[in-house]
Amino acid sequence: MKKISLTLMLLFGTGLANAQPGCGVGAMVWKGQSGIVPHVLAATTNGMASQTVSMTLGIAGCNTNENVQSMAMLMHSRADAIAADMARGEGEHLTALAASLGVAPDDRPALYTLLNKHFASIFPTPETTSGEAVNHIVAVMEESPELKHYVAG
Amino acid sequence: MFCILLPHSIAASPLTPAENLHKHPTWLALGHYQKDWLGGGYTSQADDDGFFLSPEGRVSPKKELAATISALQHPRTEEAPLACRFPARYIWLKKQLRWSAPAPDCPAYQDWLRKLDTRSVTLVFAASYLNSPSSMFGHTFLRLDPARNAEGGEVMLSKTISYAAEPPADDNELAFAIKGLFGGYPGGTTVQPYYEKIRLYSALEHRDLWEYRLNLTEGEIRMMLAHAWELKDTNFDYYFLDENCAYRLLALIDVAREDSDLLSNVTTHAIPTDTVRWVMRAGLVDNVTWRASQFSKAKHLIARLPEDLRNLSLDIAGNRVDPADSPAYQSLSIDNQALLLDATYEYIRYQSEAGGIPRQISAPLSHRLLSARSRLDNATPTLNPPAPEFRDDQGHATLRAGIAVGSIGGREFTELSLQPAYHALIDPPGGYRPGAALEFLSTRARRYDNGEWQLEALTLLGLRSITPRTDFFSPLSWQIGFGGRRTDTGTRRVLTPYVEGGAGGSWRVAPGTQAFALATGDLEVDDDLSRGYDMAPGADLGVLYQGNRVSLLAGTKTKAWIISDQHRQDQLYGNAAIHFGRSFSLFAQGTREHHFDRYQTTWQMGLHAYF
Repeated sequence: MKKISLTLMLLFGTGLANAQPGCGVGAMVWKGQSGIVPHVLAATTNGMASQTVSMTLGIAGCNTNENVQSMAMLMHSRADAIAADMARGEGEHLTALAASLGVAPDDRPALYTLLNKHFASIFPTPETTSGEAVNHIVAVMEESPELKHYVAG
Repeated sequence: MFCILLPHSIAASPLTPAENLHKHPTWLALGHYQKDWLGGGYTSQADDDGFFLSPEGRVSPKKELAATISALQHPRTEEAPLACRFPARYIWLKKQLRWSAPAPDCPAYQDWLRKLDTRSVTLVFAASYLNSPSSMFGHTFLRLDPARNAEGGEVMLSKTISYAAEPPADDNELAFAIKGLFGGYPGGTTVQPYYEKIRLYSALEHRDLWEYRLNLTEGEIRMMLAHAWELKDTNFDYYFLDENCAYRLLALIDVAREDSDLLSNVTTHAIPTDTVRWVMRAGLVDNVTWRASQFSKAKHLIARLPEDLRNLSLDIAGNRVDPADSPAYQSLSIDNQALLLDATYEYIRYQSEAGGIPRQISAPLSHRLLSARSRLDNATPTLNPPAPEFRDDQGHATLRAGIAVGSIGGREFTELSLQPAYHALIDPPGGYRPGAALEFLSTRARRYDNGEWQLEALTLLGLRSITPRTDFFSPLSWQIGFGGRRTDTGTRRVLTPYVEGGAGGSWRVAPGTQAFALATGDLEVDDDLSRGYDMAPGADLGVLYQGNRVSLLAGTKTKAWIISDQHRQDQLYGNAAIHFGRSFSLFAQGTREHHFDRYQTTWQMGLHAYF
C-alpha cells in the first residue's frame, strides 16, 4: 500500500493519485488528475478529477462504520487543513470533520477539545499518514465515554 | 422571440398538448434549444443522440415534444420507464397536461436524490487570479446543501454539481486552449463533495469563493435536480467562450425557475462574473457569503502580526529559529504565540505549495509548529479575514465604451474606444484584483480635424499584473500584449503589428499605492519600417494608485529602438480617472515624448462608460 503521509499532504496531497487498493485508509481507487496536469488547466478541467474517490474497499482498519469512512475521505482530501484546525482547537475543517462523523452539535465542543489535547498522538510524526491519523482519531474517541458511540463499528 | 405560453391557455385544453407548448421556455430549456441564427427554427446544443426521443429531436422541439408525450403515455413494459431517464420532462409534462397516473418507481434516480439530500442550492463563484490565464473569467458551479442555514464547516460535506471540459490527461496547454475554443472536447457533469472543490480552488489555486444562496422553492429544486439527472450522461461539446461551465448552470436554473430566462442574456460569450450578475438581477439570490482562500487567510494573519513579530515569523519559517528554544517566543503572550504560530504555519503551507520551501524542511517544521500550537490553551480564536468591500459581481460591467477629445503635436482629434472585456488599471477597481488588468480586443479609433478616421490601436490581448512584493511574498510583476498600433517612423505614424512584454517588481509605497519597475521589450514588424522590423529593450518605471474615487497611473518609459529607427524614445506619461460609482469614469491621459530629436505632447480627456 502506498503510504500517504501528512508531509505529502502538506504538499497538497499529490501522492493521493497513487493510492492503491487494499485494506486501510489508503484503500481508495483514485481516478483522473495525475498531478502532471499543468496548473493553468486546473481551473476549467476540474471535471477530470471527477469521482476522485470512486469506490472504497474497507477503510480505516476495515472499520465498517459509514461515518468513519466519510471522515476518512474528508481526511484524505483536507488533512493539512484539518491538522491545523485540530492544533488550534477550532475551525471550519474541524466542524466538517465532526459533521462527517455525525457528531451532534452539543457534543462537538467536547470532540474539539479531545482532538486538540491528543494532537500529538493523532499526528505523532511528520510522516504520519492520513490513514494512521484516522485510526488514531477513532482510538482517541473510543476512550471517551461520551463520544465513543459515534465511531462504534 | 420566445412565445411565452401563459398558464391559463394550457388549462384550456388539458388533455392534448396546447398548440404552442413546444415553444414554452421550460420545454426549450429542457431540450437546450437555441433559436437558429437564420430562419425561425431551433437547434439543441446537446451533442448526444441519446438525449432525444425523436430522430429529428435535435432540430425540432415540436417533434421531440410529441415523441416524449407519446413515449411517456405509452410506456413499454419491458424497459425501465422513460420517466426515470427524463424525470424533469416527466414532472413538467405531468403538470402541464394534468396527467393523473401515479409516477413510476425509479429506484436509481430516487437513490441519487437521497444521496444529494438537497434543501437548498447555492451558486458558487471561484474568483479570478491573474497568474493563470484560464482563471480570469472565474468559474462557477452549484452546491447542494442539506439544510438552508448550515454553518460554514458543515457545507464542506455538501455535494456540488459542475460542468467542465473533459480533455485527455496528456493533452498539452496549447491543444487545450485551441480545442477548448473550437469545441474539440466533450463536456460532462461532475458531482463532487464541496471539500474537494475547496481543496482545488482555495488551497491549490488561491482563489476566494463567493457563495450565492438561491431562493429556489422545493419544487424548483426538484425540477433542477431532475434535469441534472437527465444531463448526467449527456455530452455537450465544451466551448470556453460561450457554452462553458457558467452557461450550463444558467440552463439548469432556467429549467428550475420558469420565468428566469437567464440564457437570453448570453450573446457571444458567457463570462462567469456576468452570469452571476444576471442571476442576481433576476432576484434569485437571498444570501451571499465569502470563503477566503488559504492564501487570503495567510495574508490576513501576516497582516495582523505586530511589526516586531514579522521578523521572528520569517526566522521560524526559514528554519533559523526554533520556537521551543527561542527566548523571544517564550516571552510572548499566549495570544501572540498563537497568532505567530498560525501565521507562520499558513505561510509555510503556501510557500511549500508554491515550491518556495522544499518538502524535507517544510514537513517537520509544520509538524513542530502545529504540535506547539496544540499545547497552547485558551488562545483567542483566529479570525477569518473580512470579506472584500465589493464582490466580483459588483465590479464595473465588463464592456467599456469611451469618447474623448485630444491633440497630438497640436493636431486635434476625437477618439472613440471600445474594450469588450475586461478590466484596465485605471478602471474602477472594486470587485477586481488590485494591480491586475486584462484587455481583450480593445479598439481605439480617431477622427482628426481634417475629417480623416484612423485606427489608433487594436489590442488583441493585453495582460498586466502589478503586485507589490513584501518580506513574505515576492511575486513577479509582468505584462504582455500584442495587436496593432500606430508607430512613429520619423516622418509619419503607421499602423504596425506589435508584441510587447515586461517583467520586474513592485513595492507598496502608501495605502493603495505601489511603485513598479519593469524591464520591457518591444517588437514591431511592418514594411513601412526601414528594415522591415524593429525592436527595443526598455524600461517602465511608474506609480499606480487605485481607489474607488480616483485611479492614477503615471511614470516614465524609455525604449531604445535598435534595428530600424536607431533612436531612443523617452516618454513621461500620466493616466488619471475619476470614478462615478462603477458605471462612469472621467479620464485624462497625457504623454510628453522625446523621439527623433524632437519633443511631442499628446493629451486627451473624455468619458468611459461601462455596460
